[in-house]
Amino acid sequence: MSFKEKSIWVMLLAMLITVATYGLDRVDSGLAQGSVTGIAAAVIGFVVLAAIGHGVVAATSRGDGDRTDERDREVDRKTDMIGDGALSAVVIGILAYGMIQGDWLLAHIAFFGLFGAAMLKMVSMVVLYRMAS
Amino acid sequence: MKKPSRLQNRVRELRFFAGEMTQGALAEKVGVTRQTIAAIEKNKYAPSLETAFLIAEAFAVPITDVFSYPPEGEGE
Repeated sequence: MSFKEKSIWVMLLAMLITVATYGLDRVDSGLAQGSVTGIAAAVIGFVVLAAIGHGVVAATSRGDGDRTDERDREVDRKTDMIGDGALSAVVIGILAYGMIQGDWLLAHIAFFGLFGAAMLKMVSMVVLYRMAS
Repeated sequence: MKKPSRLQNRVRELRFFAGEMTQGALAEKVGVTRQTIAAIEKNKYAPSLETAFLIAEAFAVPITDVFSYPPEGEGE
């Protein structure tokens, strides 16, 4: 298993622990309740878990070290599409929720976020096409 | 399901003729991971043109001695 693949397992495990821990806490107090410290603790906990995991992987890996290559980048590119699709679906859900609930600040953040991200992608594509033409 | 590539290679054979060069040693020369070399040998991954040239360079042979692309229906 390459360093990159081990790194993915570490990130996945750290995310599962973080989501499960924070999710259980939410089950107790409800999704409509929250605090900055709660979210911050979850994010910091995730970063610490990921850092420890990567430290262990780096200490036990031989040979390739943290080298990544074209195959890793191709896997990244293919899986980014899945992640992007999931994120877009969530933002569309937030947009719909904002409109139904009359929370227009939320709806507008989702609306401009979706279009802003799409426009950024289009601009990047135009630049890349121009560079390769 | 992903269509299997028609690209074939002799990387494993050329490693043998290069004094049983290890996958790790070849990976080091080419600048990829050992796992990528293993995936190329098993035809599970088609390398970029640049990597294909670098592999050929590592064995000091023309690229056509390492990789081939047989007509459809052949070599399956």
